[in-house]
Amino acid sequence: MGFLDNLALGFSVALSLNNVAYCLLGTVLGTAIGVLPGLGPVATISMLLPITFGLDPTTALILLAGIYYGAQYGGSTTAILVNLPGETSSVVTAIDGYQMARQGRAREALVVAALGSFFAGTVGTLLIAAFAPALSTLALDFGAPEYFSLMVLGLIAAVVLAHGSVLKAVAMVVFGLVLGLVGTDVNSGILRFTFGMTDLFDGIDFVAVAMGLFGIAEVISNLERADEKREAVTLSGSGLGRFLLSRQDFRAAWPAVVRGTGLGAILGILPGGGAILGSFASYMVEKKIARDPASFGKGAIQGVAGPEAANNAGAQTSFIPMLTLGLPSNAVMALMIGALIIHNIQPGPQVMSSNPALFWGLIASMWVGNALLVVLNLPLVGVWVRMLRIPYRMLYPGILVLCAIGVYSVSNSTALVYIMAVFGVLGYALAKMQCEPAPLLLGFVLGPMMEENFRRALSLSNGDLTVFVRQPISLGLLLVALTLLVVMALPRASRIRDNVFEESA
Amino acid sequence: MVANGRDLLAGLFFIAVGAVVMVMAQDYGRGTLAHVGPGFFPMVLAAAMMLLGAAIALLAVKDRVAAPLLVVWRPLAVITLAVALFALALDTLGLFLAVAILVGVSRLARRGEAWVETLLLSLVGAGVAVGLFGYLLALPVRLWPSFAM
Repeated sequence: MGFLDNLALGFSVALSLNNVAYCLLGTVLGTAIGVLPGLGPVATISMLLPITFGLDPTTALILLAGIYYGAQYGGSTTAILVNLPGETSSVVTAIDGYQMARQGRAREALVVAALGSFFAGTVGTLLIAAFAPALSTLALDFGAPEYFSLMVLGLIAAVVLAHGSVLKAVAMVVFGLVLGLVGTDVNSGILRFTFGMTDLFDGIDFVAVAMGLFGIAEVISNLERADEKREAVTLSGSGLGRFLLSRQDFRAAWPAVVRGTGLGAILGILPGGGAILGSFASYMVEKKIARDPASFGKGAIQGVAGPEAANNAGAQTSFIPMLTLGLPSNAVMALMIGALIIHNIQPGPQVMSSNPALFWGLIASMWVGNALLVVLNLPLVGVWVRMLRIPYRMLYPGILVLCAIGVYSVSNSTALVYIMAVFGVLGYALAKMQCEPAPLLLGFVLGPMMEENFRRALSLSNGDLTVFVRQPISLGLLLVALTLLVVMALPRASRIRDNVFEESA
Repeated sequence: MVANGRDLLAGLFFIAVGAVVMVMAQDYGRGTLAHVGPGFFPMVLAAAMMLLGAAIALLAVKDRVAAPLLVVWRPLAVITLAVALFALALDTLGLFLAVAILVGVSRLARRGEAWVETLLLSLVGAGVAVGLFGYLLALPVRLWPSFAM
């Protein structure tokens, strides 16, 4: 099938009334929850994961993807209006976006964020459609050793490119891998790390882990701090006419959008990149090449346009490794893989051929979701601002209720609620030790797959450990992983890395 | 002694978890390289965890940045208790009361919240939860206390 046939199939799935409705529901829900303080895309998706269980897998993924874009967009909205980035990738948006808002240009900032994101989303969708099949075909030749090495690379890269201590992040990945092994071993039937609890025989439930680490633990941490005074910039005037950019703004913004899209799309494919790296990189580039670098930090429209486009392009292309290789490159993709597995679909290169409707439907729905965001969210900005004003003391009980009922509904058992509570405490403790939970979640999802491929590779090679370095592809992947680790361990490189993350923060 | 408390604790934590995993994995059977047993991969991971933990702890001791570890117990205890009570109450007292308890107890996480607001939030939250999850989404869960219906 050609490129256009694939897209046609995709749109025929994505544009069915049912799927458009769920895509719409996802983007609206995602934005609504994403604008709430302290709730980023990961928390939002894990909270809403259980509502997808009754749906068919395609619709479920479309809904989740919609929630993802929505939450991301919601994060940008709060970044611009109240200087409160809902997640790391909109930290950069807050710098110039909030300044624009204070100068009475909130609408322009929101419009440029929305249009930039839409452009980037469109390009990202086309990129996935163009490159995913080739990657999938390549990946179909992968054997167990290649897969194992690929996962090693993926985990290492995710750790190295994320911020914070590399050592701690690697330790968190390993911890996650161990947690992923809890339950009955498929090869031998032996129970591992269950401490005799029957509820753990099938492994620790993914939703309970995600909600505990990202939902409950967040609430506990937030409650330690006094409520921040949030001063939302008020928007004056209304009507669609106010949603247009002036010629001058448009001229300044579009090259930044194009550059941001390119940067974000490339960095998004990298494991660990996701939406975050792109927006930082784009901001730095725009600042470097701007005719007037001093205007950055004081409301430069390029400082909003570039990072927002990059962030959305990255969000889009980070689906590529997930869809073609079954590997999550960040915590959101780990959740997507968790959702696929819950729906009995083994993520990997075979998804494209075995579930073409799901694969292409999801890709087409990405574009639909982006379009819906532009159409819906600009007029709804007033509503989001009002949601922002809900004080946290009234909000957090609601978050707890959603998490508790949600995790219960996974298998109608209160055992999961207790497990979630345990992971809430664990997540809080880890946060206190400045260990980020995202690498743990990646490891948790990959644990079983990694062990499986490790065992299979060794059993096929009759116990010869060199199997991982004899295959050229596997060797290459491991070498890249090793290089990344070594380079990042060097003091010079780690300083540069810190600077990248601190420059704009 | 100035040491980075957070990192030191993190290092010790990983060493401890690694040690537990290592001990437990001994019983699962190592197997051979050609037939890797269920204990092998956990042992590798446990060893990696202990090494990483040791490295983190060593760097932390050398680190001259004081990073005080401040734990506020009240929210931690209250929220965990609230969630656990929800689980405890759900099967016998039903969704309405379980949600009311979850909301009510969780509001104790911070001192000085208005109790009228707490009462209202509990009732409204419980009502919405029963309406949405119980009747609209028809979640198979007891809604009211078993002695009531």
